[in-house]
Amino acid sequence: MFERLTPNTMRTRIAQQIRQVILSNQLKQGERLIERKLATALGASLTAVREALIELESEGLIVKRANLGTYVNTMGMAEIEKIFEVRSVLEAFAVVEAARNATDEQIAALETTYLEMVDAARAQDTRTFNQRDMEWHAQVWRMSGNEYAESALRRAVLPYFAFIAIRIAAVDPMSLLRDALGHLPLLEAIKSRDAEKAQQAFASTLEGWLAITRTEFSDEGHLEARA
Amino acid sequence: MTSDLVSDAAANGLRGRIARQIHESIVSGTLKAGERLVERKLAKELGASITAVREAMIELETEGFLTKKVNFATHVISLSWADVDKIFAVRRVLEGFAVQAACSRALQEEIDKLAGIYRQMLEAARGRHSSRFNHADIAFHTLLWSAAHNECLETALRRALLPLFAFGAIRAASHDAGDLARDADSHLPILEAIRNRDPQEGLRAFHAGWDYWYGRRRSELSGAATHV
Repeated sequence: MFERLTPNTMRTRIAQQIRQVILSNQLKQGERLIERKLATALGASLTAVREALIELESEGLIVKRANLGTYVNTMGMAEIEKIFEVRSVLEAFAVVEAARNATDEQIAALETTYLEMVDAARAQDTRTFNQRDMEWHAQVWRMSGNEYAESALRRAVLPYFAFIAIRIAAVDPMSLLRDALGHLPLLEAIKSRDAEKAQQAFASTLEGWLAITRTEFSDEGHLEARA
Repeated sequence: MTSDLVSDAAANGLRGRIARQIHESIVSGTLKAGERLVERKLAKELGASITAVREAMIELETEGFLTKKVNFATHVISLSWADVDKIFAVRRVLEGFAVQAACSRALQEEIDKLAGIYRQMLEAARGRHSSRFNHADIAFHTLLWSAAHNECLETALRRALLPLFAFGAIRAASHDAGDLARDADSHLPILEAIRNRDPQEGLRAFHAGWDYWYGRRRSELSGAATHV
């Protein structure tokens, strides 16, 4: 009936909590993480917090600097260009595989997440929007059925969502809906299990997202400074 | 050489050193695929605390070298046919892209270094020195990934492909000098394309290499009849 609480489940649960706090922008880019404070706040041991931080470090959400402490990772436009380059290859691969391999249940769940993302955008609920956006992409990665592609995408692309969490909090609410609706052509292509159409939809959607990000970046100058 | 294998996270003091030692034991074949790792025993062997060993093991687990059965013991990974197929599918698109990027972006010193590693590979093959060959092979590919000058791409490649290279020493030990020489030769057209800064030729050369490496791995798997 009960799940036994082992040191491993503790580590995973602590990592999950800190991850959520970063992805919802309650911890800012470049902010320092104090292990002792986290342990107190979470009611966990210092050992468990340290282990959770190793997990988050391997995900690229935080960085450890020798003798200087642990910080939330920061991301500028140069890093984002590189992440988009990887997405254009690896996420494109995942999208094609997803269109080929997805189960009916997975497609239904992807559509539910999409609808929740649109609802959150209409309600201008940026935090929920970000969570659903990230979930939506993670679901597509999983639907590829290739856990090596999925794990590489989690490591390489997930930090990007921490960055857009910050961006989205700053831009006008109309853009939330535009971003949400941008997922529709890709969803439709996966639903129709058309790998070629999915690839095309992803390529043009990704290009659009990158163009928007570039514009916002040049309009707003240094996003990290504001965050 | 092994310091190149485990990610930047390995720079972290004691934890990193222990992680590198465990990793080297996997690459050199001291630790076998599927073997169980016991924290207490490792701590004793390495003269380190259980806490430090646990942290190193979590690092290697997130890097994909170790796997944890739910709430239970930690084992060295072992790759099934399905795993190898999946990794090679990712490899085709991701490393192919890296080769093209390296053709346009590699620095002259990186090209010289790649050529040097290629020569080491040839020498190791001639001397039938499989462990040395394997280290050179990993060095060639990891340098190729960093010569693409996209850290995000490099991270993704490490995450997806390094498990494939982990058991090379065991693998290569079962081959004769002719096989090793052909393995070494399969890298030359890629090196030449990068030298000539020809991305199209680079992709073509990589695809030829991929076909060869994939065939090799499949035949090894059927030879071993079980896991890699």
